[in-house]
Amino acid sequence: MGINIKEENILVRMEQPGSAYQLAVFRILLGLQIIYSSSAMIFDYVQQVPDISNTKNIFPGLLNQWVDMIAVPYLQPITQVLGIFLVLGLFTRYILPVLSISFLLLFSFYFSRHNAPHPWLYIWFPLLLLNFTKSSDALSLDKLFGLLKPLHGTSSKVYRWPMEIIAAWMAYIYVAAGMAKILPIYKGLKWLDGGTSQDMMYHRFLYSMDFYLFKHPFFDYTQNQWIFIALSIASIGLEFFCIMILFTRRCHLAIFILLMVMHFFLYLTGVLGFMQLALILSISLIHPAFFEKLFTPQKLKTSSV
Amino acid sequence: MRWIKEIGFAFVALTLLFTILQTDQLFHYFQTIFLFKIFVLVSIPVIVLWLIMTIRDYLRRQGIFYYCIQKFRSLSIPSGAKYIIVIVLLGNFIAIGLGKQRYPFYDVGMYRWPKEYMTRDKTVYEVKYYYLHGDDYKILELRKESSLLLAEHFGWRYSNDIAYATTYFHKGEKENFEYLSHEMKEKGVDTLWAGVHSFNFETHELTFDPDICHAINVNQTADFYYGPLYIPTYQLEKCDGH
Repeated sequence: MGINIKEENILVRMEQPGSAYQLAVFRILLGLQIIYSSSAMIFDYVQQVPDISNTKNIFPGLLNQWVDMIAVPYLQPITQVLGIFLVLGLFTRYILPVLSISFLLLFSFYFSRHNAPHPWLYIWFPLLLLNFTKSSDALSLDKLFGLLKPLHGTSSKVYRWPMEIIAAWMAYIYVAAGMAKILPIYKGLKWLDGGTSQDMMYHRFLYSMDFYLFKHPFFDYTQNQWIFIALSIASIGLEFFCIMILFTRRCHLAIFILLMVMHFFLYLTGVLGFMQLALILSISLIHPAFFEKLFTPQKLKTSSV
Repeated sequence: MRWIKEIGFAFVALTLLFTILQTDQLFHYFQTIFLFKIFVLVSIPVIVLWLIMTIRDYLRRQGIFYYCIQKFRSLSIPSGAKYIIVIVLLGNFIAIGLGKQRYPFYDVGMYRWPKEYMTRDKTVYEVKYYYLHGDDYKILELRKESSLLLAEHFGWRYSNDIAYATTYFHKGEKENFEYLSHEMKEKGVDTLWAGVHSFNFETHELTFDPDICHAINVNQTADFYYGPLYIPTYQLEKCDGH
């Protein structure tokens, strides 16, 4: 059974029927993640410890100074409150532009002080994209209060393209992570010798979930190079495999399962935080028909009759 | 099949191009390392050939790039979204190509730098803060605290990122200790000390040594991830007094 890229690629899929419920579920989960991330103690913390990051952003210096010196105490509650509005789907069209700006500025401060890509990497673009979508056409107070006029059907293609773009975003994150490991090529060959995996697993063991839960490592991290080589090859292989998201839907389930296995293993060995973000983006890998069946049980009954 | 060939060729050419772009001392290596010189001399014709073929295909209205651009332009999605998608695509493409980040454009390269594989010491050490709890002691497990199910002291706002910062990124700084100390005082813990946690990968022996002077010695001598831990002045003074 060959893959027909011309018929199954993401650009073709964008014009197929979607699900208002799928987009709404994504909106709600993204909103919950934004509330959680913007409420974190890290914002108080990074204002108290020295700034040792050397990161750059695209914003002008004056804006960065304003965010750094004045805006953070305001941006944090604004992002939290607007996150709640996003979850509820209330005034969605109006709050989304403000939320996108406040989120981007708040996390530019976070990144400038704390050189880590989560959670903002997974969130910022899907959030920006929601500005152009009808994400509150279902499961929202906007709909309940009649503040918007939803489309007649919940399976229009206007609900599909945002989810496909988010799937493409997921592909970018993992393929770029794979590229970064092999580039430049001469360094990539070194990466595959397993030393990076060993260094991480060995040094993080006493602070890992594996240690907290089981007190035992999976194997002896001081040797067994072949296992570290296998883990390194498997991680790069999986990251590159995610490019299949762009060409066909047929690999979505395999990609989802493998990514969850990888993130769960990383979670146990001391790389926390990425799994829940990957889970949120994975909503885009589920077929829209699943959400239609889930939220409109009558259709299921009718079709089964 | 033609598309697969095109994608494969694009991947090879871009990998070569990005390797050249990401080599900081390109001309130095070119002059001093013969193998690198060969690599560059082979890469350039491959990249140029790929560019010529791609442009030729586009002008002939064929090939995957022509298809993608035309199909994308014809999609019935809001034009604002199209512009945003193109800007983000280009921004991230440049970030990946140069191997550099400029928030929010990112090369996703947090684990990009290789560490050498080596046969390591069978015992791994970690200097951790602990506090006295009656006649016993309790270790302040900074990363466990970020798990909602396992946390003992901090609430849900102590997320993974702050756990990473307190455990590794800022572990050697006085301000990190002061922040943790302040948080623990609010939970009724007056004094934090540093002790040595160790695990032997061969025997699976796990120990925690609360001896404050031993912790100071180990902290100065052992090889630690992100360097040594900040040890409070009162611990150093108390140990000096002994």
